[in-house]
Amino acid sequence: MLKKIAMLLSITITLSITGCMTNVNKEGASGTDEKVTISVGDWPTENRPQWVEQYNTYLRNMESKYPDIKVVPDEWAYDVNSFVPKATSGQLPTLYETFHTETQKIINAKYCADITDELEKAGYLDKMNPMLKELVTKNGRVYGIPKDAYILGLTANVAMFTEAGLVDENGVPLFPKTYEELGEYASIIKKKTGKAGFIMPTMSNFGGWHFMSIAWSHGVTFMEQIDGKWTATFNTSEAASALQFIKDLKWKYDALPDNVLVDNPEMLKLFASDQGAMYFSNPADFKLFDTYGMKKENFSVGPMPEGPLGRFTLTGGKTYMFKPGVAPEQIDAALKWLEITGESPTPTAELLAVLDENYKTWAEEGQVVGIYPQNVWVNEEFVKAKANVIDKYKNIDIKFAEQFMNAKDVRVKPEEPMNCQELYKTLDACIQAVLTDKNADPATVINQANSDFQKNYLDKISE
Amino acid sequence: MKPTRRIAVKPAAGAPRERTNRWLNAFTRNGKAWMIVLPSVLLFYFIMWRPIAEGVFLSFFKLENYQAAGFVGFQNYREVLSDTLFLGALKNTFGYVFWSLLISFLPPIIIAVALNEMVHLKGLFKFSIYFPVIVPTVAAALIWYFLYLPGDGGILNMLRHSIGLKNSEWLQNPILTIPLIITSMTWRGCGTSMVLYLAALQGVNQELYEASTIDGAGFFLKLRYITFPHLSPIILLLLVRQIVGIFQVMVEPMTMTGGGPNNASLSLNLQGYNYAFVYFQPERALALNVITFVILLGITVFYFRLDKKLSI
Repeated sequence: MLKKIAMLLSITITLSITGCMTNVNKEGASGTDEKVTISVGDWPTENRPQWVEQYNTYLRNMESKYPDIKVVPDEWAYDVNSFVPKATSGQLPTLYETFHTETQKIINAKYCADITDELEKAGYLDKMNPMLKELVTKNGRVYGIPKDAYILGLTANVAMFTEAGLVDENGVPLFPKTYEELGEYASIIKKKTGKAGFIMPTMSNFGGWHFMSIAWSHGVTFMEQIDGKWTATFNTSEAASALQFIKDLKWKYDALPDNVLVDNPEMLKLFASDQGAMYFSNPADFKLFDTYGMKKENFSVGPMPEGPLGRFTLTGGKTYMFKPGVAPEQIDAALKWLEITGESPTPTAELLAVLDENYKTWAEEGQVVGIYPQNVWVNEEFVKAKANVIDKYKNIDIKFAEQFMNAKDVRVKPEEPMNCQELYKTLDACIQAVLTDKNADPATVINQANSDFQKNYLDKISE
Repeated sequence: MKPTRRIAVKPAAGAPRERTNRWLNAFTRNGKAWMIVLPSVLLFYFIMWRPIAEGVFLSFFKLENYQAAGFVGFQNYREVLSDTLFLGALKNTFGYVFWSLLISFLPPIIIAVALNEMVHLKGLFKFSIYFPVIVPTVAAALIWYFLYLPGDGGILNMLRHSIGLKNSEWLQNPILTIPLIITSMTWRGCGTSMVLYLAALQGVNQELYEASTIDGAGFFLKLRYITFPHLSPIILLLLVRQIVGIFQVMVEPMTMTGGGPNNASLSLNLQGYNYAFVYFQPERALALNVITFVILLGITVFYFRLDKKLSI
């Protein structure tokens, strides 16, 4: 019996190992036909008919301008559960979209292609926003093209602020200037409306991500390279007081929702349904209006509050990346596709017409148009041209976003250089610890997190 | 009639040839049986054996694109075992098993015995108990979301109010998180176990009950001497299935608490999921899963030994 089991096992292992070996280097460049073929991810689905129509127009324009390129639509959109299987099995679209927070992770895992040479040849590198370029760069090589970008602001629910009497003579919410003021305003709103004054996400790495701005403005440095070794440096009184602020929101100001286990969708739902008055966000998350039915009149956005070291915020948005192993001509073809969709840096008349059409479609679809985003391309002619188009299709009363757009003292920091997602997860746990235990000591919690992060991640960096 | 003469095969050509012949004979003799078994064997190979063997093999490598990119020995195991979250996750996983045995092991047996004794409305009760199994996952998740909601809006808190108690934090209380997750799992899984127990109960020879009634045995004596001895094999089987199943719990903590609060409901499999899908470190996920596999193998071997002992 034992012999049979041993034989069965050895056959299985041999076949499996053979399987492992034969899988190596299956990835190869396609497009050896006459036409260069590229697949494009995030193709709009039928629930967004205006965009299906718009993409079909792009497709027709592409076919007539570049007949030697074939574009294959792919509706797959980035998702944590399906990305790794797709990447591993070589099924990613040639051009796919992901979030800014994922790019370094994808580069480290080698699930994307190096496009530095093609970008250089096209003259795009100098025109790219240096802060955003940092997100897609490793060891001087560039691996993606940011698609869009925003900075986090403090979004406020106009109806709830009005009910709490926290609006100026023009009906614009009085945005808290400091974190202390944020706690106080949130407390007033809770008392006056019975609903949460502030929503703090605590799950799925969102808690840690939002915590960064608070911590930076308190003067926290999360990690440093000391003698070539990465060291966690947030076991400080600054980090403890940033965490104390979160703790106070619950136990001192009593301003948070009853449910403290909040992920991103839950946060948007609470805000859109008037269950929470403020949160840090993308200044105009379309899901608020499209998925959760919020009225645009209820939306306003201000700058991030100020901490002891000033105002800090971070960027979010989407990035284009390329399937690993694609041929240079496919990368060139994808760049031409981005020219057709209005996302290349040279504002030709043709591109401006597409940009005009894009903003018109967004406005018709019900998205907030009027707030200038962070520009991916920073050549002046492009910035001006884009601002003109945005002004043309503005669909909100700009007084509700003016303070956000005019804030000059907000500093945008790039994400931490090493193990970002793991850091966010570690900080999620810290936030949960102080929100579920009234007696938790922020300094002890943060010291433990610092030591865990060092031991679990930074000590294990081999490069 | 002249008897057929049997010609003995001389093993002079050596043992390997004889062994090959024996395998070949066995195969030709049982050809039809092999043909019937073959699809299952192939499925087992591709879906179970090969991934398991490949997983064990790759857990000793640094991976790039899930391909071996350099042998690292036990490095991945060392990294997983030295992770400060590992011990907590292991403890939580055994916590899930403990609470699962305490909360959800007996109810299906009791319900099955009660249903077996019922004369009226048996179908209605059977359907009611089985109903949660067919409730769509999203609807079930929403039901439990509203039940466990902290604050005044939660259904369970409303019930507490009605009897003069203060609000509970439910899932946000680290002590209650695992038992509450197990309770929701019991609600969903109880029906399936109950049906299996009921089927086993209905296979018991009714004459035994009749004979014991004539001998003057009451309900509990019949339960002790007839019902349980008949149920014991399936009880043991479902016990091991439950331990193995709960040991791999992942979806429920992921959707209900994300492993929180403060990692109080983080299970080994959820940690493995985080390694593979959130942090893109599949080699660590594989090493952790091999560790889980070894623990489960130990439990299963223990079950088989116990079963053998009890059978004797």
